[in-house]
Amino acid sequence: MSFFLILLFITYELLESPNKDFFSMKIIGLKEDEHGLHVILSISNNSNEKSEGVLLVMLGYEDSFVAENDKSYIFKRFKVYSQQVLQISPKREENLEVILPRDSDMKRILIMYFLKSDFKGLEENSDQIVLKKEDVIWVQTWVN
Amino acid sequence: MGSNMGKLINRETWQFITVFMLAVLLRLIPSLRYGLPYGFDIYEFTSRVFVLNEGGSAPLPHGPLFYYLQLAVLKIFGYDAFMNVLVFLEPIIFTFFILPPYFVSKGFKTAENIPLYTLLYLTVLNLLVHQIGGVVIPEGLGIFFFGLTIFFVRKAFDDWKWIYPTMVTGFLTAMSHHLSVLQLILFFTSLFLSYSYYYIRYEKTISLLRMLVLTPLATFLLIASAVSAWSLLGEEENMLKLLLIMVTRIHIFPFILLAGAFFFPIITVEFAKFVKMHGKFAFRNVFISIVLIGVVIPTTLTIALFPTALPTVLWFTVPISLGFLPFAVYGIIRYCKRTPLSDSLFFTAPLTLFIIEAFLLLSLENYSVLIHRLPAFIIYFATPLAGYGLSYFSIELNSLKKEYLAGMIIAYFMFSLAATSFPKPEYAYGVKESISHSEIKLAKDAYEYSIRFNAKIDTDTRLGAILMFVSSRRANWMGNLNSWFTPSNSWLVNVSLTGDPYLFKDDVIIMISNSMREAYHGRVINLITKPSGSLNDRVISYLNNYPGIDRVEDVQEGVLYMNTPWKKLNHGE
Repeated sequence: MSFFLILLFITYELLESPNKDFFSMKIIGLKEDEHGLHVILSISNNSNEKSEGVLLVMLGYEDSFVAENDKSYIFKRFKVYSQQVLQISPKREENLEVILPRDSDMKRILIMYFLKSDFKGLEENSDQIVLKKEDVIWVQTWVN
Repeated sequence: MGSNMGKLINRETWQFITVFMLAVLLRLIPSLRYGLPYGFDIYEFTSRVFVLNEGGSAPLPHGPLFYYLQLAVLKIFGYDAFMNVLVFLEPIIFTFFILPPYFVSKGFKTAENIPLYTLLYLTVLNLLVHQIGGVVIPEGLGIFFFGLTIFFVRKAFDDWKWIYPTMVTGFLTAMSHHLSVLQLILFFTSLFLSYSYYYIRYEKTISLLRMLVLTPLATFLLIASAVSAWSLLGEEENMLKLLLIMVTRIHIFPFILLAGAFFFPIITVEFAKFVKMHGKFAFRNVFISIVLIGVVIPTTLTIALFPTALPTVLWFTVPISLGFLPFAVYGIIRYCKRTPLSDSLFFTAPLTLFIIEAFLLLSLENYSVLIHRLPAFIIYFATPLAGYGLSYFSIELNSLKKEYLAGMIIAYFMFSLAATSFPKPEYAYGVKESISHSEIKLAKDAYEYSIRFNAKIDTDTRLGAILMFVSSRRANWMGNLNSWFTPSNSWLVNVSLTGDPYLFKDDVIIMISNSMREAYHGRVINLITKPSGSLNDRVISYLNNYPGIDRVEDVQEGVLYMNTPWKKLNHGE
């Protein structure tokens, strides 16, 4: 009986194994020239499946704010500058360049990769985006 | 007759194989779950192996054997195969290290003993699953040679020639692990003291005289080997030296030692004599008393003195206090009754000294790291007695109904011991032992950023170990690996203690992971001699919103932050 109970426990532990796949995003360069600000990014798909997600570039002004708890990120009062569907092959790392015009009021640039293709954007009558943590990776840099 | 004996041997072999396979499977759970080495210490240890492999020198604070064995595997098989060996093969090899107490049990000259029960305990006991094979660390190797030495000492009781393997395995213990050699020194000391008293007072036999020659010789060899290992290979990080410094700070310690040397043998010998002579000890009374002592007293004391440790205390002690301790104590009593006093002293004297040592060291401030290590040695040493207690208990059941009921209860005890082998952070002081692939990537990238920006990396001991691993110890880590007592200047440690974030310097990369956060029941892991806490939401909000602090990387489970990195870099360019 001990034997079977422990075998059951081992089976449960193995079935409940955490997912080894993950995505990552990093800023590898930031430059400014006559065209504006250039943010160079690297996004990697460390899973065995092709990923189709949405890349969002958001601009933060004086009162922008990011809150987070153990389940969600809440991006408050950001302006969505651009969004595009982005596919990344399995086990690949993609480099991207985001070019933004100069804006003296802008405080920060926040770039996120939403890991699903059905991004809904801002909710009606709301100035915040709430996203589940497992659905998004994001980086940011401060300007001005 | 011959055929029946053959069947019995065959049955015993299959039972042994079945239980041992269960031991292997239990220890392989983390490897199969994560596909990576389990526990963060092994990454730090392996980083030292990488340095040796590159022809450099690194402190080997536990002793050289573990590191050089790993180096041999790395040299023979190459990096990729080495990692696979580390993850999947070494937990299996380490499982064999549970066997010495089983062979000690097999050597019992008491007819009612069933050695398989000892193996069952060695298989399922949570601390032993964790420390021997669950994590691959020098302690596993040390505990193996510790057990093997004890096995040879028992043999030397009957035959002088076993003194040679005793010396060899004692030396290998000293070369493997500092705490294991301390336990072995205590083992020999306790035997020497108790046997000296017993020899002078009661019985002058040749086997006892042999012990009185062997034990000081072995103690001398162990001390000499351990001291040479720590002075040559990592004095600053050696736990044995740290313990020595700690106890020398207790001014009355020499008096405690002197009083102990005088009273210890009298107490152990006379107590064993009393147990031998005393009337009946019923299992029911032993069980009730031990459960009261083992559950109620630690729980009450923890609630009163250190309430944050309650989940950890309950997690480990309840299964041990129910499933192991009563049988171990019952085994000691029965063994004392059934065997000559000199034989029972072989177990009761070291056990007494181990328990005194555990209380003394655990009572010292900030040494909670030993909270599972010392009990692991005690339990490992006591498993043959627990197996004997369980054997005696099962023989005493005189009806089928009782056998079924007891069988079900014991099955549940064994299950609860096995199921508590790998605690989650909320049951282990906030320490998350498993490492994820994303955290390894985070550490690699932090190292690359640190080179590019000429920056230091501020992270905790857990991710610091990964950082050492991915950089072959080249990373400029602000964690303080080498000094037990110098105050830490880490931003992460400071804010984890105060909860008040402040602006950090612009030549620092902050590497955090969910394992450090209050929201995930984690903590910033610091050296054992230094305090730390967890990162609260206020600290995270500060990092995400303070102007100038860039979030340069997100790997889902961890993040890198830097203060105005590009300004400095672009100006530099």
